[in-house]
Amino acid sequence: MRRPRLAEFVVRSKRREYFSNVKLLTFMFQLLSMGLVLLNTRQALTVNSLVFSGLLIGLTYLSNVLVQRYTKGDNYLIMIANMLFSIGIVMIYRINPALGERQLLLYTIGVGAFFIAYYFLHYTGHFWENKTFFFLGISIAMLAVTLVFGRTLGGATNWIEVAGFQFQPSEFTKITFAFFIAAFYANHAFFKQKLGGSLFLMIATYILIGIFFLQGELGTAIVFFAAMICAMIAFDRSRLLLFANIGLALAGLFVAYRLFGHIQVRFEVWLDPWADPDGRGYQILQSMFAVASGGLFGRGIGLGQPGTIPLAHSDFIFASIIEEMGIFMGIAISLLYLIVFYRGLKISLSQTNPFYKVLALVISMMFAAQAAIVIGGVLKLIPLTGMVLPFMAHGGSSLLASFVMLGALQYSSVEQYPEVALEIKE
Amino acid sequence: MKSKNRNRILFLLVIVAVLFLAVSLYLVYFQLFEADELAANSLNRRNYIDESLVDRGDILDRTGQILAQSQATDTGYQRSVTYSVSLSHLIGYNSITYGKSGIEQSYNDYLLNIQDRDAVGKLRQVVTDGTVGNNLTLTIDHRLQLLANDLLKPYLGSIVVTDAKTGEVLAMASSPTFDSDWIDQNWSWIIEDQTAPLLNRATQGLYAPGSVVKLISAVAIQESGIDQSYVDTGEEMVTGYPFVNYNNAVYGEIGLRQALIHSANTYFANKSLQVGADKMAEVAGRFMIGEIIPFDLSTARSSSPYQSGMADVDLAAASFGQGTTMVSPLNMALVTGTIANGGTMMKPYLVSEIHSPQGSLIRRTTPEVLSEVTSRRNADELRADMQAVIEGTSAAIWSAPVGGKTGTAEAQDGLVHAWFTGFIPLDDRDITVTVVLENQTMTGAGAASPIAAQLFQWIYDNYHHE
Repeated sequence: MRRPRLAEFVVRSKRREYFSNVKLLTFMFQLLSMGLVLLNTRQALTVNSLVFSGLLIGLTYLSNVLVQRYTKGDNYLIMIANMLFSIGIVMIYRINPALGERQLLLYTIGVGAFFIAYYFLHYTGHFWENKTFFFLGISIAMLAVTLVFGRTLGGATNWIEVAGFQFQPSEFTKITFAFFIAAFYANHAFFKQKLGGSLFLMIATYILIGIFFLQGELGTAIVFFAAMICAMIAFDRSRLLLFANIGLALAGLFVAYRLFGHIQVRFEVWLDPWADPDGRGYQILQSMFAVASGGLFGRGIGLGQPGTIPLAHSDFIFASIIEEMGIFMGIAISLLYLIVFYRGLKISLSQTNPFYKVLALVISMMFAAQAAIVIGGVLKLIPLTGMVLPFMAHGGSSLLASFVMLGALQYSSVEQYPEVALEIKE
Repeated sequence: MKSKNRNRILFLLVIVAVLFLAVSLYLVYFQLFEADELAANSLNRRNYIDESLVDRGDILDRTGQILAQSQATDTGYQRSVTYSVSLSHLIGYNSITYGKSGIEQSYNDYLLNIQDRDAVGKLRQVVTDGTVGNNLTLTIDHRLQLLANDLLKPYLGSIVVTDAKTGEVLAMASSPTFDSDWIDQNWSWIIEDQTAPLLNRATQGLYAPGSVVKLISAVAIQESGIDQSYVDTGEEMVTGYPFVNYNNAVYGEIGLRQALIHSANTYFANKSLQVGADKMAEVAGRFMIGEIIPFDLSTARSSSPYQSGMADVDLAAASFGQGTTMVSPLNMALVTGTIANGGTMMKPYLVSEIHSPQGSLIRRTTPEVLSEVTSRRNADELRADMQAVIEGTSAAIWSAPVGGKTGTAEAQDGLVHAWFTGFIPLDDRDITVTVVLENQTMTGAGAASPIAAQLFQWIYDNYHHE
């Protein structure tokens, strides 16, 4: 075995130091915040709550270590995700301990899914890199099933029930859609010759977006659109198509606004929530009150009133967190998502395999777009879209899908030797 | 191609970074410029959820009777006022929907025990479970307050009883009243009621004073050093306008005391022109006419009619109470208190002590001079005049030589506002009583004096040899 040279050693030990610092920060946050939860919410120090705190600290630490040891590539991703998850679950547990415990269970499954996704891609090799139609088919099929068998919850028909479990297929469609775009650009030459190139991508994406509009899922539609546009900006030459798309999107939004009552309502509420403060404007106003009551440093964990916010543990968790942890925590969360995006783009830049290059970009764009849309909605910068923050909000489908995507991103960060040509062919 | 590709990805990074930084900046902007107003919005349920978790402090009267207290319920603390009708203007209401008034409003920070905190500290303190507020002790005597309310019940108007020596308010009644414990249920008809039950007439009602204002004119006459004698012919011509006495009476040769006893308009019309508008305005100002009276409840500013260069007719009319003067009952009580107290106006107050939940004293109000109005000699002379005024009238009681002045001010539809303001000497102090009744058919002496007499009698019976 080759002995590491000194410079290499220094770099390595420095990196290790960073990692342990990040782990220490996560641990400190968990310890302090859970301590405050147990002190302030009259939960009392039951065996359950202590076991929960121990498990939270233990499991996140374990996932940090396991990912570092058993996967290659970017070790920061899981750490950022763990930090975001920790901030979220502390809030969820503080609002409702039962939901918090469920979230921890889902997290464990989620981390499992992360490894499954990673090793699945690792062992199936390059098999998936040209299965464009397969991914598109799966995406459309999942949404079609939802449209037929779906149940309406919270204004959107996007739930299906399988064997007693409720799923939100649109969350998992994000995964297949990301793979679809990656496969499309990895085989760009083929599509260019046979199927109209980017036009094909556009039509496929608009079909999916159309289904989302039918279901009332404005948010996911925007995330899909953002993912497609960003892939086009990065990997497509045609500026014309790009602007055509933006024009089409605006026109589409206008048509949808005229066509669908639920979208009109969202815009009206956004423009003037005070018109119906106890009815349609209730959610967003309560969210605004929570943010306004928090101040720079928050009212303290367990000392606020997130109970007054509807869906304080899921759609409006950002508002709950700001109320109790302050504007600075809100900024910190925004920056954490920005770092996820930055890491994703870094992976995309250094990746030589076109499939994973595109995949990394699309996945990180989806995370960023989703976070931005949710935060913007909660702050009333844009209309509410009914989505949740990745890794933070309570919800099995979202958490699971996010970890699968993170697993795929992790695998994308592993250096690969291209079997396909380095550049995307025109 | 490769570097182009790289630039485009970096372009995306810049776009998204700007996006998230913009959101962060907006958060800070929101916190600095919009949050306070939003957080204070009445639809923000935190504002009352928080407070309902605090055991709001008790309010007691000077005898130790509990006037307002909080009782624990399943959802938090519920406020209840002991004499919620008689005390509604003093204690005020404390409503989730309609806010606060009275002492509940002005001493909210003390009652919640958040008086020493900045905005952030307040929020944090308020929500901490188990907070107990401070207890207030009022200068009010609930027995006197109930009596004043009973006496006032048939009328619209106000009664103010103060201690001239200290400025303590012993009773302060306003009619019509409302039930502060039922404010939420009754709000709609209370605010639609034309008689304005929510208005605390004692501090915020402004009335034309009629002849009671002659007390102020008398001090101006005393101070200006002019000849106080006058020969009344029943008419005083001022620039072609004839001023006459009530019932066209003719009093002959009179001095200041007789002028006050008979409430001779002609006398004051004549003398005020010699005193001049500037002097009248100066004295009225020292009596806090036209000034804001600092008090535990919000007060309306009485309006002074005097300005330099005003027409003689206006000056003469104002001097005996027919001008544009508007005074609040509290202001008039302070005027009388000043004369009874040797020319020094004491600052009125309602809250005498604030105790922490553990019983230690947080704040004690010490009597404060509000205005040095006139000399002891002038005041004592006027005090004797006022006693002479009341002798043998319906305001007099057998037990003590009370002093006072009545007033009758024209109101709408041929009706009048009936005034009485006076004092009763006790062992070492004087208690003032001021009564104003709106829209009466009888004069101040006819309508207001008998009510004052009953209050004087009660005060003598209960406070003499105290």
